[in-house]
Amino acid sequence: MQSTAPANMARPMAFHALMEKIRRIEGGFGNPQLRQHLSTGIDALDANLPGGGLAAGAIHELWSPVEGGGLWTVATQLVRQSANRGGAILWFDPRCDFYPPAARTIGIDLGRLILVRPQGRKQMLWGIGHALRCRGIAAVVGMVASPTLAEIRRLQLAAESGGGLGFLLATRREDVSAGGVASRWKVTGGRSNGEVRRISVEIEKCRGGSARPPIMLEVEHGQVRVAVSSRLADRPDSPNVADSSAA
Amino acid sequence: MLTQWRGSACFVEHASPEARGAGVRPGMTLAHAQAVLPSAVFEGHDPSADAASLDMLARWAVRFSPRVGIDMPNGLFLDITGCERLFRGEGNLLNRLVHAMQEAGLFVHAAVASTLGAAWAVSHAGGQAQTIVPADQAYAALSPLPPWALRLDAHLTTQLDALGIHRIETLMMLPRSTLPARFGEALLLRVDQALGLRSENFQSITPTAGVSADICFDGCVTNWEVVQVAVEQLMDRVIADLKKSAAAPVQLDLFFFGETGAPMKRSALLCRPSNNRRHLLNLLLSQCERLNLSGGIEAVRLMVAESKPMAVEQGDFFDGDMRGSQRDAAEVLDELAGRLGANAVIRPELIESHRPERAWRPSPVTQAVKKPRDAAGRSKKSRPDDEPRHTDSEDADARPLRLLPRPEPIDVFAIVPDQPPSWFRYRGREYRSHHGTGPERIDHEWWADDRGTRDYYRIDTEGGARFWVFYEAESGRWFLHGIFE
Repeated sequence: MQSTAPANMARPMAFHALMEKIRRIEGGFGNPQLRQHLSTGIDALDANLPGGGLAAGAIHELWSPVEGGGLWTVATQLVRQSANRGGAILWFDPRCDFYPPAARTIGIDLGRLILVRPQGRKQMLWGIGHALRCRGIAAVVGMVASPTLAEIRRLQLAAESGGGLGFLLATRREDVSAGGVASRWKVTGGRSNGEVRRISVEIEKCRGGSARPPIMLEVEHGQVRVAVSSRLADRPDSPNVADSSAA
Repeated sequence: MLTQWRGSACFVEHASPEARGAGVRPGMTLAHAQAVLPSAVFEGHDPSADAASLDMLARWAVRFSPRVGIDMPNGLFLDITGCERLFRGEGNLLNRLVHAMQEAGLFVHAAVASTLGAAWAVSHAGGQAQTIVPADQAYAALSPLPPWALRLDAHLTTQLDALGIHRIETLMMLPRSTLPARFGEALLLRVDQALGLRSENFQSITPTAGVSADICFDGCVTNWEVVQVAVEQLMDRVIADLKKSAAAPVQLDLFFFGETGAPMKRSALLCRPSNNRRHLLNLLLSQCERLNLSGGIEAVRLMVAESKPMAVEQGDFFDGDMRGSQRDAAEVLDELAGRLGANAVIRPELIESHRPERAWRPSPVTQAVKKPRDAAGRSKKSRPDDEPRHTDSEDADARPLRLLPRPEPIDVFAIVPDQPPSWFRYRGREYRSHHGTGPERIDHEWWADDRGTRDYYRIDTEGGARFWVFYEAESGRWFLHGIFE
């Protein structure tokens, strides 16, 4: 493209062009110039994510080995942030147990929330893909038991064309996808003391980046914040955890 | 018996058939009527209440025809063109209409005719509860009726009466050209309207909801492609008709008429009005995937069951800077609702209620589904303050994100009075409590039929999970109701 460039410039230009090409093939993950990345609203998490946030137009996976560990709480935090740009939020609710009053208290705008109740895995997959393809829908949250690589790629393509974010939630290790997601998060409940809720969040993998040690989050009165540095988060039983975060 | 004061005297305005039998006539003074029938019950006539009930009746009658008009003070017009197919004949339609009204305790005269005027005349002056006037017998049916049946004003009626014209037949024998000069334009207009020489229309209570189009095939069609082309043509016609009134459909009904049996119906519901041909066709045709054409289709009818003005912006979940994609999102929601069912795509609406499971209700995104509640008002069983509402006072951490549709009983161990269980089993897994918060007492609501006061506790387990359990004092049992997922 730079045919008029001097001969000694040709080599770095070619190198640059090649790098650019590779980044494009990679989909621009982790590169804010090539792909929009949305802040999670928590600085410590953003710092752990290449590109400074969640890749837009992509599928992200969150899973938890325990029931009641805070998987949805983390998901709502991420969804709320990704819907900051406007657009609807679609939460797939196959078991009819999503509770909107609680979602509102943690900052989800119910005026933009749509619940979708599919029957069976096939409807769920179709619905998520269909919704992701739409530009007016900012975030889609669904639960698909152990999606295959091909299924994830199909969803990824849909998200790519719509520009929104897809979140897949899994409550068991077996239900986690075979791969192909932009990021995978493991959510585990930490030791909570009644008032402050502790949730450990670990970025297991992330395209354009690498795995990071867990970060302990604290939820109190609907606000999510980082409890302590990721080093200390490995010691959730420490009685000083709450104090050190306040300091 | 309904009465009304006129000047200083109270007159009978309307009388029940029983009262008429006893000799009470409208126009009598109340004193006279009471002398004739001492047991008569009378009430002041309230014309506005009458109008309101007539309006309600008109809305009810929409089930028989999309075009219903009100004929004050006590009549309804229904344009049943094409609708008789749905009821397998005009006779059946009329029968069902009359029976339904009679069952509701109404005294009804109904007539089907090819003109509004003829139907009015026969129903008002014919004396039969139901009459069908075939198209070629309108003249014969009108002949024996008195001239007032042509909807003439009182002045004209007395004028004709004075001339000895007591039957329409006699009136018709007068030279047509002399009528306007002798009786004014109005008479000739009414005559022509009754005979169909001049067209007449009425104002429908649902102005654009009557828009429809049909295609009748030559013989039976079993080929889906042919039917599809027909539907596409119908869509063009309907959209063009709606555009004239700047409206767009929110519900479309598509009927397939076979040679025998009831017509097959497919509906498309929209969450906001749309004129987009591709989208509307897409929605309708996707509903027809499992349509059985083996019996053959004779005719197709596309009807706008509900429409809204295009300009009205209903949606609110598309704020922000994504306005250009609003329509996209609305269309996707329509498609999801079309495929998964209208009740599978919902918007949450908060309601004020102590009972956590009743603090919100799902509301289908597609507008047409919401109609019954909007149009007919709230149901009688509704709770005292059954209005969508937002309250900001509650504690953000008090409610779980996952609320089980039905509380599940749990096995508890190590119970201390007024304390949450320190150990419990839920779905085969055992949990040891690390910290319990509560109780939060939630009483039953007196207007609902639930029983028992619940003491809710938030339990943090050793494994880092948080649950919402309650103790029901009445049964002495523990339940898990929510998960702070």
